[in-house]
Amino acid sequence: MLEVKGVGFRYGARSVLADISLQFATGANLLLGRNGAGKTTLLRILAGAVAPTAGTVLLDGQLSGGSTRLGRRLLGNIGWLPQDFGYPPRMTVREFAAYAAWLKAAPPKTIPQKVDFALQVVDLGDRAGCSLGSLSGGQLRRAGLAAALAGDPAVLILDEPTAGLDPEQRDTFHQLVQRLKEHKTVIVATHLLEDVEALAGRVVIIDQGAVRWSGSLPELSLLGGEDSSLAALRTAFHKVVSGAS
Amino acid sequence: MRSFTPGRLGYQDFLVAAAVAALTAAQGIFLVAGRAERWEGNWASSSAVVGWATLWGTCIAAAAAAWVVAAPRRHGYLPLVQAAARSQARIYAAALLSVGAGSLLGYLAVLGFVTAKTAPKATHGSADLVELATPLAAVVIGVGVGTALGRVVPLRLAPLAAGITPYVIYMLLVYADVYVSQGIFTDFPMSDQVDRTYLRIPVETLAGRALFWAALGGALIAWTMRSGRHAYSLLLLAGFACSAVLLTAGARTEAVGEYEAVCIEGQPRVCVDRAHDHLGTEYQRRIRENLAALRGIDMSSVTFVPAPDLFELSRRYSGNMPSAQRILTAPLIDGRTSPAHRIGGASFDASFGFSVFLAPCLQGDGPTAGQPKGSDGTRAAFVLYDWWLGVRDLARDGTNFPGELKVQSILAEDPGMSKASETFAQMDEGQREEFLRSHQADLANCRGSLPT
Repeated sequence: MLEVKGVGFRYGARSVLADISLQFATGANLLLGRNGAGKTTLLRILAGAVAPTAGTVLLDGQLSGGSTRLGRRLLGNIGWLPQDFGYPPRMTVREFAAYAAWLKAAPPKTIPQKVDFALQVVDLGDRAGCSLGSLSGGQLRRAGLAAALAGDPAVLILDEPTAGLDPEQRDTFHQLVQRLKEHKTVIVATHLLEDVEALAGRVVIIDQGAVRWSGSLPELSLLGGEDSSLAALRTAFHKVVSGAS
Repeated sequence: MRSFTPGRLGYQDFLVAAAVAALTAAQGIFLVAGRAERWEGNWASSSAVVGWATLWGTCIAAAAAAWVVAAPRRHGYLPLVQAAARSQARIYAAALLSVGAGSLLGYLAVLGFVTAKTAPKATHGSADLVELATPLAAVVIGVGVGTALGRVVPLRLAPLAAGITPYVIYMLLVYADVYVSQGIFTDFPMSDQVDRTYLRIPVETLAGRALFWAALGGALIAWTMRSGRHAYSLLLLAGFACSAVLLTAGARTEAVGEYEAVCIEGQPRVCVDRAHDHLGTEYQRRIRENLAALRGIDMSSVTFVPAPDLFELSRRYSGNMPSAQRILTAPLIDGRTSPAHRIGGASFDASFGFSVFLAPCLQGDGPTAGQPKGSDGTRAAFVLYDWWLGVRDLARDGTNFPGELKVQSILAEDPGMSKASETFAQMDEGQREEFLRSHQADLANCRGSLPT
């Protein structure tokens, strides 16, 4: 289980996140919020890319990230797909995934096997030798997901994974996450209610750097109306964030 | 502990290492070869000369290190690196070691070049290992500066900023030394210009300097790799090394054995000091060649020496004082360097003629050597020196060696000398030989007369 306790983050004098305490269990966890709400910053903290200016991040009860050896080692259990990830353009899909697995401290001997598995999960086995620069947007997202999965993490963090994908690619991605959430803690940040509806997990609404609402998908639907349509989700979301502001 | 990098990154590391090695070697060899007269054949000078390559070699290593460290930022995968479970040191180890290895290979190539040039000629001594610590330190400080700036300086500027930083540091030290006027910064730059022919920098200073830069470079690397404990330890070590350099700043020991005169018998007899005895045979041959063009002048009783105080210094420092009936100074000169570890072409031949004809008139308090300015003795000397330059096909505009007089201009201002010069040039060989033979004693005392 991944847990944040009293996490805050400031850029100089500007507060981006304030006193966030959350627990993420196995299954889909959806961080819903408007652009600039603080979702990406929270994910960067969860992934260990930046240290919070206040609070702690715990993985299975132990401090994750930071400068300690144990904290860094725990990051090996967290896979992360940033919203905009870069790559050396001539690097192949397999090399990128292997590098990501190596960064996650996977033993070098196990990397080829893990990479093969990750490529199989994202259905990119036939494109493993292709350079990243030659992939379509959807394929690139899947390559990024393969890189995040290559270390065989218990926690998978996905930042706006469906942004820029066409509906068909989005469906494919949803199906992929549906499979992964069965045995992993999947944390997805999104501003798309379609993602929330499709992934059907626990929903956390963040706005202005604070948690405004937390609950299940049916509870969010109820907040918006009687049915479980997308329109009801939208109404509920607006209710939460307008209440916040 | 094995460093793993997927295929193309490893290949790029190799390319970077090869480029750094090639550039470091090329600039280093170019730099030392251009001033070979200052070290070729002398181990002490040759050992120190590898340090010259560090001036730009450090810049190259720094720029390359900044380039490789900035790669995750350049390609946009820095977040993955920041969220890595491996330490930053492990992540960048392969790339930084490649740069370091490339830089080291470059210095080794320079060292190989210097060794190949010196080993066949050197007569005594061996490479000074403490001097060779400087290039090792240069590798570490170069990589350290590049690693630090590659992480913090804006992406496009990082390699450039890192590349110029070692040179800026060098210049700041030079200016600081001049400004403070206490000589305390004299021995900090790795690329020093201290001629090791007769002077040596103490081992403490050399070792302290190398340790200072290496520890400082290591601290920069450790700090960038988020290993604060190691960074502070290395900074402490750099502080101690810095103290050692400051305490011994400017101290020099004289290599007194290098002053001992070494004579080569035969015709002509020559004596050089121990520091330049690798040139003895060539010195004798070149003087013999020049004497062959000076028919009529008998030099059989002359001992040629490169410096007038050679015997006195030899007596003072080694107790060895060779005897000589008559001494004539023919400097070991190459270009602008004297005494040089290589004998130049035009500069040596011209200075030889200068010593034979003009030097007797320039000794003493001024250019007239007791003779009134414009005396026949001095004028005859200029005429004969002008003839000598013509015979040896040398420039007459005063450019053969530093301090040479512009004979062409001097003759042009004096119609009598111009005419005498023409006259002497038009004589047949027999007449010239006879003139030189009959005037030899007067020429040696600047009392010669113009050829008529």
